[in-house]
Amino acid sequence: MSSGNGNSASSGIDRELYREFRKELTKLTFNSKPIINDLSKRAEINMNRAETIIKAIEEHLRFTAPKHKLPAFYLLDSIAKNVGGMYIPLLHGRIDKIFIDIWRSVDEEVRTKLERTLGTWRHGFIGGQRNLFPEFVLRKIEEDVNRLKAKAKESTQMLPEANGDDLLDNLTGLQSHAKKRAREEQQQSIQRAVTAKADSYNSTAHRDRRHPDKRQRTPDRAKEGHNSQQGLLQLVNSILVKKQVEVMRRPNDVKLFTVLNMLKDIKATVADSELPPERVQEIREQLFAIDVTQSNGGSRGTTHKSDTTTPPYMPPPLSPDMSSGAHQQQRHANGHSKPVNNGNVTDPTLVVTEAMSSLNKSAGGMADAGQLLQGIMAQPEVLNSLRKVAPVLSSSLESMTIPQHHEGAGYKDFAQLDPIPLSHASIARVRPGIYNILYAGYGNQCSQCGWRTKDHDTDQMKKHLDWHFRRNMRQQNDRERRAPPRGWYLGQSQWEAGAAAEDTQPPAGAAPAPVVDGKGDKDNLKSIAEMKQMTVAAPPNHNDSCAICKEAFERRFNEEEEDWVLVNAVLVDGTVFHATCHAGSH
Amino acid sequence: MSTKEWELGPGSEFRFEVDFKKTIKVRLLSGQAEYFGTELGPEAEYQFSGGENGAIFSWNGCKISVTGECSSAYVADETAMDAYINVHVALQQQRAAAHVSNHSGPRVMIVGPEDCGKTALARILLTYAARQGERPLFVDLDPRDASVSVPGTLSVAAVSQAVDIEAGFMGLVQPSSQGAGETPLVWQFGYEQPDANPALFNALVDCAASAVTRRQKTDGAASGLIVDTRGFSDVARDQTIDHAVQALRITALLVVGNERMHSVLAARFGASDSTKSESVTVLKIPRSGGAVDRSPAMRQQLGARAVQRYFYGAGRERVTSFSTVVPFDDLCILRVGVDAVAPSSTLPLGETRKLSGTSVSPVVPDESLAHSVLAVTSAPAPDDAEAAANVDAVGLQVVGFVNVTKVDMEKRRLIVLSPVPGRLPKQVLLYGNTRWMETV
Repeated sequence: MSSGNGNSASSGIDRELYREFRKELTKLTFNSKPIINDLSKRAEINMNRAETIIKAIEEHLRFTAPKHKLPAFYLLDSIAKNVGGMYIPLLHGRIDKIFIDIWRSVDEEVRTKLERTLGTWRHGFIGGQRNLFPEFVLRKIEEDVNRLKAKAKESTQMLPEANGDDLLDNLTGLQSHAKKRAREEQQQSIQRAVTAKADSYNSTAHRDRRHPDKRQRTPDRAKEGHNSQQGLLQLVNSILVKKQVEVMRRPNDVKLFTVLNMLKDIKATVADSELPPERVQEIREQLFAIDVTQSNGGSRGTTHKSDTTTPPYMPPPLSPDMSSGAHQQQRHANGHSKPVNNGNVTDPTLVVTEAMSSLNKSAGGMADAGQLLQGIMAQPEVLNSLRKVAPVLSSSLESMTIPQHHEGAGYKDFAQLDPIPLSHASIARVRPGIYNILYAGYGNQCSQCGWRTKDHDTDQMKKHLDWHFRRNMRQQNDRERRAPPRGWYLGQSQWEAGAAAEDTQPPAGAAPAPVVDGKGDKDNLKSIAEMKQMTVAAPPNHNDSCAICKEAFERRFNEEEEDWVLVNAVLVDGTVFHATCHAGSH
Repeated sequence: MSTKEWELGPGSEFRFEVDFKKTIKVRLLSGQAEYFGTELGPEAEYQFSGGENGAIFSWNGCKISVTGECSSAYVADETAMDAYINVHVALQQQRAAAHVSNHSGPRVMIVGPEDCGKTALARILLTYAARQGERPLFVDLDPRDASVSVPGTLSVAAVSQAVDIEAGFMGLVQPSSQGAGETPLVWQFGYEQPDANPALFNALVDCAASAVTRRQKTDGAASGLIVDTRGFSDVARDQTIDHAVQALRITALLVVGNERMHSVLAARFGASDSTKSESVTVLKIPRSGGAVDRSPAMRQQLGARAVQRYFYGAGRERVTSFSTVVPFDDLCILRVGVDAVAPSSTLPLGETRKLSGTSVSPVVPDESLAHSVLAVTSAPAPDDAEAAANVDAVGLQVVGFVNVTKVDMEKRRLIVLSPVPGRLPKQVLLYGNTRWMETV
């Protein structure tokens, strides 16, 4: 249970941050500069958690709908370019895979954009001085892209080979197919191939003793749904559920996730649009194909590399997921974790919740699977149809999903906690995971002092960071000059007036107004955030450092002006200063 | 200096003690960790120095690096944190209800024998509350180990942010991270033990209680308060505890690690007593294994450290103090109560004692003032000695402290260290037993 915690901690993944960031990423449904900037900023704040951030983006990219991939990719681009630091070396080993995976799942238009961005990695970065990533990384990406392009050309001319990769490519086709009937012509040949291939798998399935239930249920479903779209929807849902369950078993099977994603999209299409009966039948057949093919994927083992026994997919050198199942077990053996579910715990909800969260921990993707499950469960009619179609699965699904619904039971949502009386028995009872009330929902963490604010309370966090900034400035000054006097304590009446009055008072304690540059302090404070946003176009031949503090400027690419600018900078008589330094010197 | 990495499993803590004059640096490498409830920043480096003994606790496991020499360092798997978080949640639920009903939140007093981790528990509970957006009041009724100010004082402070890891409660007097400044409300008691002058102690507790009431009128009372107390050796005979419970309208008494004390207090305040309108929950709380016994010498050093921190800053926040000359004529030093009260039997027959614990007497400056820590009050100094004797010095608010570095009898003046440059304001100074000498 909590072993996941220990594990994640030692493998450098901050689970809380990971979840928060994943949540943030779901906002990235379009190419929004403010959101991307904001998330880049968070990435910068969490530089020492770079691994976690990248992992979050990676997983997000893996599971999000194709149309959301580009913005997430832009975020990665922004982090690499504007934040850099630890992120660059961490991306070396995996950017190729990330890039190619996105490239594969998107349409021509987006591919062009991807390639354009790829171009900026080589030439455009900091005046053409150097590449964003090392040459070999970039070359690898380009080679892969070219290879895929060549392949795509082939596949339009002849039937594709039905290996695992191509199946995915075909499924990608299937998705857009359901949406765009205009591309029917080209697609049909592919689908025929898929169906044909699936038929052969079907016979495999019938031979496979390990899946006896499948043989039974498949025809049932076919009977029940007829050709109605409703039936199709039920079918999609039931397969989706089955895939979810499979994902639980094989959380690291990336193809399974891709299939899942596609099923999701197919489901959306089926639910949203009117389809002619023959199309319904076509999709139905293809769905059966997916169902059977993928279910057997693990056991065939010849074409699918990933199953329960092989290590999870991951770019080898830098991945945090290097800790495979075996690795985790090793950690267990090392005793880094302590079983949380000890004899004291009797609450079944808690147990299930713990189980869920440990599942979440064991595979980052599970969070998403859970969300997906919740998505399904949130629609009562889907749930009902599920009950009809696949009673066993739907009940198991409910049992898995519902604890997550009120994860408050999992000590996340304070309001939903059972009352804890101040009694001996109640205080003595160990409630594993209850500490989450201090963390869950407090996603914004200041990396300098660990202070957290509520998830969406960015104002408080800004205020807090400003305070750090002021304090750091002051402490820097203190090293040069004398530290400020402590001053006298506030008067009693002021103190009693409380927080409301205090906000309007200058801090009388540590920095008494009359003594240390207190006069403009208040005004300064207000504008620090603004100052930090001030930019100056990077002058040619500029040596990149502030004339006052001698520290380098932060550079950022201004897309409107299409030029590099220095951040937190002012130009005074031809000399560039940090805006804050300049203000501080007056 | 050697650096060592420590891996903490879930629910375990790294306990350390640092000698005086030594410093260690701690960094969080991965995972999450807390120091008495305050989360460690992932990018920060923390310095612990001068007699600090503490514990870095992790709920879900973490890895830290420690640079420097600890006199004791180990990882403990068994902590009292499971109980402490339960207490926090229970209190937080009361606060949540109080916010809705607009009543007073939990008013908690922590009692227990010496060195059982009372202040640590107070710190954890306050910080947890602050982390959840509360603004509880911290009432420090432990004059010896005064955490917020210098020894010999009682104080009240609002805690709206996690208590600073390096500066501790002393950090509360520094500008808070929410941007606004906040200083504590402090009273000079002048003794280490409440029973050195129970009458004065009780009077000051009354002052604190009414200040709390007024503050809560504007700020709201839902966040409640946490009261830290002096370690009672014999709770049965202690006269101050009852008074404090009543004056501060305590709703819950947390008795840390002492069965006997718990049973005595439960009998005295528990629900069975129907004569009281509001019953007090008396709850036994496990003692943390990390609490260490402090020797008298160590306490003295910790006291000195508190004064040092007052004049020169705690943690990263440095402050400067200033030497100032004060002529005797400008001084008005008063003393509340007397040090050693002659036994009643020595009084002439039929005489009653005129001095009470709260009687005020002027202090004539002489060499005995050297190194004392005098409290500067907000009350203006009276013009003459006669008026001085009539000043009601009990419960005068303290705005700061000066340390007498030199008594110059010849030139009739004191040289004092002051937290503010320039002349000392002509205000009443209160005498106390605390002595401090600056060491280099």
